Amino acid sequence: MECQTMLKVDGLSLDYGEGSVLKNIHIELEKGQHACLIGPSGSGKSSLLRSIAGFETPLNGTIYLRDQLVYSREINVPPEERKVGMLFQDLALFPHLTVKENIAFGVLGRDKNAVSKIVDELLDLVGLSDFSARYSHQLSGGQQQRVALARALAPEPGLLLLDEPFSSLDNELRSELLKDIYQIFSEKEITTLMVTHDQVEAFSVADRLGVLIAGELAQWGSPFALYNEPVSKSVADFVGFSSYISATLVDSNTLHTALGTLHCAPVNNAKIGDTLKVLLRPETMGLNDKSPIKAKILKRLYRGADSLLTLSLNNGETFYINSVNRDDLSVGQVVGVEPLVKAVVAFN
Amino acid sequence: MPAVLRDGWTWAASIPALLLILPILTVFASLLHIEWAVWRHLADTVLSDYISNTLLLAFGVGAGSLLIGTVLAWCTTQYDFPLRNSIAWLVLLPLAVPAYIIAYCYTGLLDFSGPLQTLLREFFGWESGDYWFPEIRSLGGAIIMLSLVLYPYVYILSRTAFAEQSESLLEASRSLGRSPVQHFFKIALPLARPAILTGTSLAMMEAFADYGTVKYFGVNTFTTGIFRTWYGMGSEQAAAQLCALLVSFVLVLILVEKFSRRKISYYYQGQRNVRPKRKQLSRLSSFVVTLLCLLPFIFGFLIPVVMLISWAIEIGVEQMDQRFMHLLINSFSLAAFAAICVVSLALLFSYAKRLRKNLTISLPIDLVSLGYAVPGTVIAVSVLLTLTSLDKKLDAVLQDWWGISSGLLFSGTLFALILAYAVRFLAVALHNIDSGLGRIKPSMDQAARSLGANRHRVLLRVHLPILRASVLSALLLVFVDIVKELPATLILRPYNFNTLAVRTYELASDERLTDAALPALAIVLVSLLPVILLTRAIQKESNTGGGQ
Repeated sequence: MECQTMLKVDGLSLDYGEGSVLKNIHIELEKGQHACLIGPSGSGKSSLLRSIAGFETPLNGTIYLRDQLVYSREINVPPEERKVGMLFQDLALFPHLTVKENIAFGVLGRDKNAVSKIVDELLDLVGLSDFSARYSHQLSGGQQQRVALARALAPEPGLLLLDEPFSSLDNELRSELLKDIYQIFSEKEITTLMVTHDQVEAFSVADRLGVLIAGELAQWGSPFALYNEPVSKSVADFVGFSSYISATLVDSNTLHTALGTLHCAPVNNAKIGDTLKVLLRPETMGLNDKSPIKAKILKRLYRGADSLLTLSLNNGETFYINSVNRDDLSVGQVVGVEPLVKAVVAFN
Repeated sequence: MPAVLRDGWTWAASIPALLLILPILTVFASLLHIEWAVWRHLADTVLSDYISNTLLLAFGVGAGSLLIGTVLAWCTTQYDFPLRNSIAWLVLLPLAVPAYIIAYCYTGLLDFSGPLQTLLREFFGWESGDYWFPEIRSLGGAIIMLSLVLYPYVYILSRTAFAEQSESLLEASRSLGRSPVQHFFKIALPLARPAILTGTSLAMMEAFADYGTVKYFGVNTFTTGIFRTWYGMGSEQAAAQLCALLVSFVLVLILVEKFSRRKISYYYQGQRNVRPKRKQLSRLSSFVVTLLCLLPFIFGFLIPVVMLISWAIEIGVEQMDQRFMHLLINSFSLAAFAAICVVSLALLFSYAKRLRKNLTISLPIDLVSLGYAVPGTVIAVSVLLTLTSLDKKLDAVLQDWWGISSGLLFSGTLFALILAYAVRFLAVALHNIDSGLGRIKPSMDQAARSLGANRHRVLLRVHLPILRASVLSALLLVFVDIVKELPATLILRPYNFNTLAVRTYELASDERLTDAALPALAIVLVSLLPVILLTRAIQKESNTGGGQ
């Protein structure tokens, strides 16, 4: 099967007139891929989604959907002709229409029977066949989400945009629903792009993950790369727990640190002898009483399955460690620590 | 004895409530004794006129208000155009002009001897009979007059409905392949329909209640018919029965209104309030929209008020004599006193509902608060019937036992008038007090008590400051409604007791329109007060809402 580019955003910039919201964004999604956008609030995640859907008019750049140009300086295809589905944060169900009528709303140019068949299939798919005659105010939060999903899927969009649609649900319901609907997306080979502020959610569903910081796409890649090989300190800080210790670059990929000698990928613009910062994720460090490197426990955050320890080295540098719960760990105690990985990431 | 009946609040609230329902019940009770002779006469002569004119008037006004109100609401919420902010409140001003007053103004303006026709004749050299000119004193004229001052009901409600439709609904429509025009007809309009219907039914209730306009224009409707049957034919029973018939029309409207209001609350549940972004218009269309939106203000307020002012100037200041001052004092002191009575009752009812959540209290209160829909004429007739029979019984009892006559103790006095106002305007006061009291959460009482305040201190330090604004606005609204009220005052006022509204009506009926200008202008000025309050609220809303 040929790989088709479903979405291509090139050099996209957006400006509401009060400073730029999006700067020079590049994104590419292939058919069937699931991507997530994360980033601090106000970083422009929703604006990017809305530009793709056609609700915002960008300043510069181009947007292609299925290799068709939908936005450039000369062309601006209206949202209703882009065939892009969208799940809204407030769901935007039409309150005066029944579940069935809501789902049928976007099915155009079919005869009655065909529409009704499509709607029934979708109702079945989201498990709401018994609720077709209800109005949205008669449904629970989770059911409303499912209706919104079925409605968005009804016109068979190639690309579905999700704007934090699950933020109003509690955690348990959310992860369950998420599993169900991404199952549906995979079966139907729907390409998705979701904005979320929940990193666990993003990591669990995404093939491609993007971090937007202050309107710039700081990194776009696989979830693994984003977590383990962040391209900048701001990405590293935003994704997961991070702490840093200083290091001296002794050759292009070797660092001297208080934790011993560590290896790293070549660092941009760094010269031998420069002082760099090494990223330490809590799970990349371990406790080992035999280790010659000693650190003092400053804080202990008990988290049930494990503990997050804040440790301080002799030189005063602090970092985090994930540790299994041990009875003998207490604040003020000095323990031996060791790096569990051979290669680390360092920044200027 | 059930616990409910041993409770002081239950008695204190339900007895006055039942007393206020009594007059309307009397009207319906009149249906038990039908005077066939009178009805045959009515049926042969004017009844079909009453019915058709009343319905045509109500539906005509409904359609007119719906059209003007909805278009205004849509334009001011969806588009950006010059003067949009000012227009949003200017178009509320016609609310301050009672329908009978706008009718006098346009009659003066459009009459054969009025400035417009005189000008036309002079300009074209026409003589009388040379040309056709629309007759303002007609059913059509009455529909236009009432629509011009009643459309704000539709405007206010549908404006909120359009403004509260989340922008994401439009985006959802478009992402599902529908154009903005399709969105308007499939989503925006149906969603606003309950609000539009509510506003329209309020306007239609006012049309049913109108007496001053139709009387002046010589259109036979139920309200004028009730007067004529009562005073002209001397048949109290038949008048009461006409009242009952009219009230049953109104009941249908009440049902529509209540049902629609419930729907509104469903429709706007759980929407994130992302205000719609207002669209920019091209230069030409924004000019057209501005002009279009100014028309209701020009015709509903500016022209009649300019007319009144020019008349008032014409007759000069000497009219502002002692007699006029007396009229003012009469009108205002009556309205103030009655407003205090009505608001006190509302406070009593509202507290009773809050403290005792049972049907014995809430049902009679809910029934009384339907009084806003009952035409003033009907309320006056029912109050008069009830009190006269009470007076007669009291008199008979006193004669029997002590041989003294009490005369007309209630029916010929201000008591009757205040009772009628209470029936008609309690809902206005209750609505304000209820929402004020609703802001005082039970947990606030508990918090104050736990902080060591006793009941009195809670009332003084917590309730009173929070309620004050609601009480004041209730007082103001009821006060102004009473100043404007014509038919009930006309029927129930004590002998030789005049108010601004009655005087305006009398002078206009005597074709002394210029002389009527001064009291009419006074009514309009007073009526502007609550409208200004309303415009402030709307302006605040339109300043905070809108494009981000």
